[in-house]
Amino acid sequence: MIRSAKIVFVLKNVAFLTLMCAYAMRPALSHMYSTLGTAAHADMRVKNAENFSPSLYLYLFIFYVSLEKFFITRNLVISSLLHCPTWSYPLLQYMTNFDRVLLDAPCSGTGVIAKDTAVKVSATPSDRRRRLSVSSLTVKLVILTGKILNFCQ
Amino acid sequence: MSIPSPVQFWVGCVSPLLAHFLIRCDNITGATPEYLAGHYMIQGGSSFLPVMALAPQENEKILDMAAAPGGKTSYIAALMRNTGLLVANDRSKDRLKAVIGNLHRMGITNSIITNLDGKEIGKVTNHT
Repeated sequence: MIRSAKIVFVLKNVAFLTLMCAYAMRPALSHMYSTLGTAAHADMRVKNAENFSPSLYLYLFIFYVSLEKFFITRNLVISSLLHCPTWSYPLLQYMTNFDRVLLDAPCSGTGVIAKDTAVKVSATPSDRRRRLSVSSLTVKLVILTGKILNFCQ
Repeated sequence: MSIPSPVQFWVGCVSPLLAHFLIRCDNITGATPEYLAGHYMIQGGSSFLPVMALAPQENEKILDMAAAPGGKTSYIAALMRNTGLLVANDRSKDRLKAVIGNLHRMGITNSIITNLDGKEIGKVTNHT
């Protein structure tokens, strides 16, 4: 149980480190990853095998697996990186100049009535006011791209 | 959540191979090996309409705010044919787990999943 907990902890740390590296050192890491499968690198790893501890091997293996997961498929998960100024700058490059924005957020929720009839009773006027504020924010966001479609309130 | 009395109902299916269609399915359609392999996903037929109005093109940069649970996001990615950049944002971290599962299962590789408040994105891009 303790070992599995440690492995889970290492996995979380490595995934976090990989996420950090994905934004700061993406070109360098992708080059490193492209050279991983070469025979010369494998020989080097065999020569250095005596200096490596098993835990370090495990660490490297998990790091490579997570690296592959994050680079082969570009599905990155970002969790509130804006609060960290060091890592927010690479994020800013992604989060600007969108061609299109889909915001289906001010949803009235009336479509759920077919599944859950309690929605009819639980809706309050404050919900409607909040929806209006969100839709006004939408107008502000989309005003530079110039097109907004308002389906329902 | 249990499905109410009509056993069969109309749903829309999206696959990464741009075969989005409406089929008539029953309760076990979400448990087939093809579903788990990511050949299709199930969502309400009305979920297609906002994406059709958005009309995403290939090699574009698209932000999907309030993306959970990922049905419209996968449809956008199918229309983009896995090119360009698709940022799927949602405020709730718990609902984002469904987005991650759906996007990985469907084999969508052009997406970045963020857990930000939509108002923060507005502050970042200086649009507010």
